[in-house]
Amino acid sequence: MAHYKDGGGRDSRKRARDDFDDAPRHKRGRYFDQGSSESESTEQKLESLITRVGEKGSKTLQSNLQALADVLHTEIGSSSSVKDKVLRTICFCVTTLTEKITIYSTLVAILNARQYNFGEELLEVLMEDLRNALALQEMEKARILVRFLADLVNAKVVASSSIMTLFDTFITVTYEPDIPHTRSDWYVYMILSALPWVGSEVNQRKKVELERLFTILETYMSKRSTAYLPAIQVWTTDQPHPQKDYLEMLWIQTKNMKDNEWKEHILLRPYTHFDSEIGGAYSHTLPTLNVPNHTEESLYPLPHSVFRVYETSDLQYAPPGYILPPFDSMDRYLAEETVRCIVQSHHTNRKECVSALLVFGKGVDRIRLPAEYVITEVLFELLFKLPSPPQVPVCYGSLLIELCKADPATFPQILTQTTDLLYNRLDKMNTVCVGRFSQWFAYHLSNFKYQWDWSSWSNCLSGPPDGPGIQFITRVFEKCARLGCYDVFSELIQPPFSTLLPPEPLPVFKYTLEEDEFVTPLPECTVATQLLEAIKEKKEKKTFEHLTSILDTLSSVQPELENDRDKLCDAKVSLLTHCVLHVSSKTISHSFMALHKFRPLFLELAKTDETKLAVLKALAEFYTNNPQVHAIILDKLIRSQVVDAMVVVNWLFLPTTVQDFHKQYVWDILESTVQKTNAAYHSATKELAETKDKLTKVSHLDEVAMGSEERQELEAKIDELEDRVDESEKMQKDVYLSLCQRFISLLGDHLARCDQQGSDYESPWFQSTLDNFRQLLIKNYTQLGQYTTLLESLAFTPNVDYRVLEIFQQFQAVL
Amino acid sequence: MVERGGRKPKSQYRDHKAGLSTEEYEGKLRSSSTLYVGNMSFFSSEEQVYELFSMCGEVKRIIMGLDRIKKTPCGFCFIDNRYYSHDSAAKGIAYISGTKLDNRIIRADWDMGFIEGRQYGRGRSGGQVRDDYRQGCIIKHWLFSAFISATLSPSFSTVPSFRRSFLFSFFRMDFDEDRGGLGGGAVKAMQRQGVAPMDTSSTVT
Repeated sequence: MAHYKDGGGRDSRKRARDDFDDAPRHKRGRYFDQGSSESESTEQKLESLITRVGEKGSKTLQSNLQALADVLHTEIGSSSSVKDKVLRTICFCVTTLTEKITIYSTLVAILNARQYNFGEELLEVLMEDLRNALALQEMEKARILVRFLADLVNAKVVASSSIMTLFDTFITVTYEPDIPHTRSDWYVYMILSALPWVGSEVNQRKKVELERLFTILETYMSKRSTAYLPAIQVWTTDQPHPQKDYLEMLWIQTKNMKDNEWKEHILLRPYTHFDSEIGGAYSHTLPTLNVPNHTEESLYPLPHSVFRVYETSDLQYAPPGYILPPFDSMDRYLAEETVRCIVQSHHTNRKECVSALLVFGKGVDRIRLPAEYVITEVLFELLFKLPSPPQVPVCYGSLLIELCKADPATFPQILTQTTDLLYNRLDKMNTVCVGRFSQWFAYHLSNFKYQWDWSSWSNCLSGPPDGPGIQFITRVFEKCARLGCYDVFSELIQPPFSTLLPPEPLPVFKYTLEEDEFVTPLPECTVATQLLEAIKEKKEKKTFEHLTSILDTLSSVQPELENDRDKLCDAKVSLLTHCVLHVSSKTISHSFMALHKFRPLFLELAKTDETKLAVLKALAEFYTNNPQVHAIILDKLIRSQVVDAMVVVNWLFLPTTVQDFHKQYVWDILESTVQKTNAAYHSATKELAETKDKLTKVSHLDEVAMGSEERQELEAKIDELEDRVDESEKMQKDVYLSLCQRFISLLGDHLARCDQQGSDYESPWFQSTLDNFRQLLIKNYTQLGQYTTLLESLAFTPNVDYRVLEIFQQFQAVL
Repeated sequence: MVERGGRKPKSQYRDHKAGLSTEEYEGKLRSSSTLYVGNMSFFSSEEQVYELFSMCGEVKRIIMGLDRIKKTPCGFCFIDNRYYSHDSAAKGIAYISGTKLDNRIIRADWDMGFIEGRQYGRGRSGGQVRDDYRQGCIIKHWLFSAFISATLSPSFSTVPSFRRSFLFSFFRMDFDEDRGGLGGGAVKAMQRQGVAPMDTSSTVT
């Protein structure tokens, strides 16, 4: 199958056989065929060697590092471009292969010991990178760079006093007045997440400075408020696992590490093997760094909460004697952090990622750490992260599948166990996470022939129909039936669970003329039949007029509409939508074609918000059993501007839709609509800025040459774009405001009704609405940030029920 | 030909009838937002592909590969991700390629962009070319069943393992019968729905 000669030779034979099963390989580190052709440059060879070092675990690491350092040492001396390349590559590897930073610091250590100015030059590049990262707000990158700089103290490249100065610079951020807590939090986090690497070293050499740093940190941490926590926690209870804020947890772990004389057992520290070689090296002072000031536009990462799921008694599939480090120990953080780093570095290549994870597992075997459990827990932590996971959820789903393939003796069992554990705690889970959990589970099952012992969950069937268990299984079934074929999946499900299957996803055409004992055809049916025939006709010309004339006859069969023009118009549009969808219901492509063809007619008939709403109502009726196609067609209608976001919001708050707020499809539609509104505003502003740029360039040219025509054109375009920006901004504002107001009144009504009746207000419907609304706010914080005062005065007024107002307070606290 | 030792092409799939040079072709791939998905079951529906690939971002449209003569799905499709462009298509390759749809491991690869006419199978029988080869290999199926019974005999374990895997790979490409996915249930579903032609090109675009 491979038509070309693949590099490496190592993989090519395997790929020829196994090409369907092969994920695309990462570009990184696979560029060249070792020692085959003269056309590759030394630089590429070196790049690849640096990227790959330490890939295979610790066994041969020491000799590999030594050999690599030898090669690099000779090559660096040969030309300055090679040296430059090596410096750049190391910096690049540090920030992209974050789990290997101790390996790179060792490499740098050896090179620095041999050639003193190499370390100095590298530090200059690193500090420049750090400065840029902070200025461009690549905060995660900055965090890793600080960690690497800290680790370079162990490698005798950076002076221990220097790293303390850097930490002191960061800590001054906490004194800045009027800054969001996310800013100071992140600077503190950068210190805390680097300390475990360097703690022991600075404790020996700079004890006083370290103590002083600790005092300042202590004051800062004690003043911190974490009022936002309920909004970003996966579990609604702290039993059995306390879910602390990320920074608070790390602070506790750091204090414990300090009490434990800065000992940890997770990190691989290859430089300890090279003590004799690097011991006498000269360490450098870091150039000073100025922390960029806070501006209105500055954005910082949002806080998150720690997620835990296993207790000591849950480790059934780990070898005997293996235990998880206590939740408040630094070892736990370091193990989890390593897994997070590996996933972050390799998520675009599942196979590389899994092999790196397994290498990590082998590495921590020496301290009897059940790596499989840590890996699974972290993957679920990332999947459940609120408001949104770092990567799309399917990323973690495919990783878990890959892990099951790579280690079929352990991971399938652990996943089964974890699913059971999560299932048993569904009632305490944030509804948004329940949604992600069910989607993941269905996707996972779809890759394993839908094999699952449903009967072990049969106790949920005796509970109320909206109980968490039943809700979850219903969601899983729905997603499974969508991923697989409905007929095939439904045959796999046996009673009593078959009652939870979704209805067969067939369209509902209510204007059919086929007579039934129970249903008499609707009066519009005769018109509908004519309309269907006209739609099917291939002659294009006259079609629209013909269709309109047929629709006009509607008033004769429904005389009550005669006098009400608006209602008549709605009825016409509704009938047209039904018929167009019915004719084209064979596949989604057919529907798209039909919608495209009849778009002018829709635009002509559906001009007011009311008639647009009629289109959506008809769509919802027609695809009531097929939420997937419903959502896809709705997206298409927004894209083709037959309806707009505001109309979708109106539709969402119709009583018939509101009762579905505990179902996933409503929230999918809402999210996609909000996203489109944001995207429209974003693209308009971007285009405007670009055109303005062009204009300034043209104006410069204008003075020298003729360019006035182009200039006029651009000016006209700018006018047009400015209108578009205003329009999309207004739409965005209206959508958010209207959403908030309606959610508040909806939830408020529910609470008032329950209080009046004395019933429990925390129904699954209420929880789902509340949780999803809250995540919607947090997820769109960049857009919503500018409207907070508006929302405060027009939506979240003080007389709103405190249980709803709480959401807004948490939202404000997150920022 | 790709130069030896150079960067490998981004895509294993290649449209050999595109009439483009390697450089042009690769240039098109770099800015592409279209995926080619292969090795699908004939019974996988457009809706299923939507469901799977929308997990990586909104899909603009899907063009199901059709048998040129029968106008039925024949195991491949194109996915146009033009809304979020290159990025969500890259996610499709990273996360979905190599996982299963209807119990078949599907393969997603970069495509240079859909052109009308490419949705039809180019094999002599109307399906994909690879399926033509398969039909000519009935004798191999017979051999395969003999081979399976041989593997069950105790003497098979004496064959060295690399030889064994070679034997398996030899048959693997061909033991695919009709790419019928889940078999029984899917076939029944197909019969129930009637083998509906899926051709949309006759509708006005």
